[in-house]
Amino acid sequence: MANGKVIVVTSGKGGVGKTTTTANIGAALANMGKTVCVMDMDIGLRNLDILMGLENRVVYNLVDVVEGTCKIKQALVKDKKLPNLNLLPAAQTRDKTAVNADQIKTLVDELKTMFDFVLVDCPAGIESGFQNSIAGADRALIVVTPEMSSVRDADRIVGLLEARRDQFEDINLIVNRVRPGLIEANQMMSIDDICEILSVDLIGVIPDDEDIVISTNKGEPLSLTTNKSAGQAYRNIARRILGEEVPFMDLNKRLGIFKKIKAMFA
Amino acid sequence: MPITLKQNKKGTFLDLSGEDFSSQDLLKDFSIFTSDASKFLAGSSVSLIVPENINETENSFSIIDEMKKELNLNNISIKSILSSDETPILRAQQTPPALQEEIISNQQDQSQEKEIIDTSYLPETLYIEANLRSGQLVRYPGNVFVLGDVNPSAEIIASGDIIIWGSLRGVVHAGANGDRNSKIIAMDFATGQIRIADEMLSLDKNKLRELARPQSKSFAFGLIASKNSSDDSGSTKIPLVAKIRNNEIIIARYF
Repeated sequence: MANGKVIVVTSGKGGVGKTTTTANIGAALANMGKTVCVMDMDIGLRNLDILMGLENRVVYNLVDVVEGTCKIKQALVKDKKLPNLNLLPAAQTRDKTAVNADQIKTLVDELKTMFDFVLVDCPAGIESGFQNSIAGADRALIVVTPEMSSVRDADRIVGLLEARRDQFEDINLIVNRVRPGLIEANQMMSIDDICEILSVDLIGVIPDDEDIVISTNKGEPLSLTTNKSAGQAYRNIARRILGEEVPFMDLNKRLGIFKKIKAMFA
Repeated sequence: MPITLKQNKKGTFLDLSGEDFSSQDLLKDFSIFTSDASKFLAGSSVSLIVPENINETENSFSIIDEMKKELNLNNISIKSILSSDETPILRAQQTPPALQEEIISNQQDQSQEKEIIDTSYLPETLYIEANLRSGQLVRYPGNVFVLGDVNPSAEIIASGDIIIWGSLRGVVHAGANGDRNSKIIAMDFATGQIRIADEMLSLDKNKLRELARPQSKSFAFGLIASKNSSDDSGSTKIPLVAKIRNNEIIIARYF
């Protein structure tokens, strides 16, 4: 019997890449031999099944489990390639009020006994969907993009999580969609700026990568491919979650020597 | 004429002198105004300034009674009621006579400035050792000291001074009950707006950064440029203080 960790992926703001992050880190952890369940808490607006390429295999969902219509094992959808990666889909025909925090806590506590890692994809916002998602979590990954609006919303989330400090072993930050060129040109908030405002430990920096769009449409997490940019960044986060010391990627490498020299004089 | 809120050393005044007391809308307007103002006036006392010819208006006293009720509802008490030539008409019963005399006499000689706002009643300073994050609000009837940052869209509303041993990026209101001697001090002013008593100031982040930097260096694009500014070799930011001078908020180096 595994005694797993529940990790909630949250951000406050919508559209910053929570679901993509959940799918990619989940896939990377599974690829490293861990048993993983990715759980979609965005009831009514589910997407995680599409990113995993499993939308045609969904039969039961999370709300069915909570309501006792089916057993957990019936609702879990096995990944096409990785047998130790499972999806617990959200209901699309219901909304956030279909479940409550206690029910989710019971559910993730049970999932913890079945998997090494349970990754919870949290919906945007700070309302009941968010409260339910963090109900049984041990760790939190905060996804933020280098924009003031995203940082401010993430800050709100960190505040709410810190209020339940005893529950969380760790709160970590993932900066998504980073464009080193723009940062060098002082047109985008730098990683340092974001970390300074949020004062949360950084666990990963994901470069902006158009391959993400392609992999999302294909339903195949990028971290399972040989992608050297965003895919590698997600694999590195998975390794850091497992406690490995992995140096951060040098994003500027791709900039080229000329631009670097130019940036030095900027 | 809108209802205006005045604050000076003698206290807080609601100026109704331009209002038409025979108008039906006055109470409605007053009610809206009071509930807005209660955010920072709650718990304090105000003086009403009414038109000179109030005695000639029908029902004026029942209107004033209604206003009193409205204020009480919002936890604001009435210190005195003055006509627009600033002679007292009605006085709240609880107000000690000495205080009222002081209000009136002070209005006559501006030169001999004497503090009426007494800060000795302020409770112990509130000490916060944490970062105040977006959406968190601190409301305190005294001085507030923060050992940490005040992040964007976090708020502090204090009756006294606000001192931030960190970066100020959120909204702070010092002297929220009208104390114009209140100060805001921060190691790093990176906010767009500050408030002291009834004054408000919108800030230019670039100018502030320049002010706080010992040796100026070229800068650009405000916040975005902060990477460079924080990378300034060995540059220690100088704490800044915001205070009211000549009826406007000024910001200066603390030393």
